[in-house]
Amino acid sequence: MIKMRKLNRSGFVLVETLVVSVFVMVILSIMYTNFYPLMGEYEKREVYDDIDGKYAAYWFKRIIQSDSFSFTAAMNNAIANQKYYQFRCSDISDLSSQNLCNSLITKFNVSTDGGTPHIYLITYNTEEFKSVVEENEGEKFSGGLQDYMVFLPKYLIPSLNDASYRIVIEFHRTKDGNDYLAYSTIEVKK
Amino acid sequence: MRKLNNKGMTAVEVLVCFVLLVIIVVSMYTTVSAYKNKQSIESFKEKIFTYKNLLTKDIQDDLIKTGLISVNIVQASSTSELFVVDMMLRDGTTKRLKIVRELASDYDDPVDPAEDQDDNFMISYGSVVNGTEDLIDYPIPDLGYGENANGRKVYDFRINNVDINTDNGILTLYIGFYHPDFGTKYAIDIICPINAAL
Repeated sequence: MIKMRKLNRSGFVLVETLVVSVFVMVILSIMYTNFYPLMGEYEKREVYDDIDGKYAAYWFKRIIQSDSFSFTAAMNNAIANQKYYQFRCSDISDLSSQNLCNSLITKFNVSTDGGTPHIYLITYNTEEFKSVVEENEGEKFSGGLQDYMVFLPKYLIPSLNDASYRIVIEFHRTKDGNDYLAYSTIEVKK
Repeated sequence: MRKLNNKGMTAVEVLVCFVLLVIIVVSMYTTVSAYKNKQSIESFKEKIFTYKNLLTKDIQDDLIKTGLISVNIVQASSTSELFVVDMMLRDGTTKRLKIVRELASDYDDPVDPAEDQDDNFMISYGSVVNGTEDLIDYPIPDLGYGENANGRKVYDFRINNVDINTDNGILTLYIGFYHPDFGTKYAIDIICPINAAL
């Protein structure tokens, strides 16, 4: 006579089901809490390099590339040591371009601090400026700028247009009574 | 023969499982429903961005690549329904931007049906040669509409305000939009120095 093997046909008990359910819910909660900030990150990036910011950056690039602006030794030193130079319209030699620059700063809502616009002239490669912003976030630079610099690539491959510099601009915009910061960058060939 | 374990679940177990399932489904439904709403808002945003970027690029390409030398604001006032601005470029051509903003009466404040009309918004841009317009229409995205008491269409996405000026030698073309979900967050905002010596 063939002896039939006894099969274990008992199902899960309620406690086992509950334990597994709780385990799955914990995993889903962890995934959700990690995923949710990505949504905020995506919304924040809406104001990075948008079309208005790009055209604004373009006009400041034109001003810096024009003959009315020249690099001084102090500017070169600041870029070499401090890793950035904060551009001012008073750096422009001719008065009409200086006035145009001031008007553009107002029209484009460039952030200012004591009259100095938040237009940072840096090297084309952003690696060193990224570190400086990270070290001085909250003191010299806003948290928004730090986030933007983290977002930006390092631009390790040289510019196809032989640009040696770039500008990073912070805008202070107001919509529906809400203030927010927007950012843009463009290369500068000088 | 061996006796098989044919015991099923008890009524309490089935009930507990059912209750758990209902709780999970209800919580999932609210989450999925919120994401569905977010998805439709994102799709609206995408349409608005595409429209804004396309029109801004077309205009800025002319202003920057050819060069803006002077501006003539033909018609523009806060009460007007038609805004027209001519932009003279360095190559001798003239580009015209025309904005039509005709509003249906408000949902809560209907006017005489004979005087009411559907919302009508249109932005047109192109060349003007010897006084003849050769404009391309850029219809604003249709993101849905309602009907007022007179049965006229009131679009959700609408031109809210227009500001055209040349203060300080800089052309500002501001076309503000309104949408119930976004308020007045989005706008076409073209700024270009006139005859800049750069």
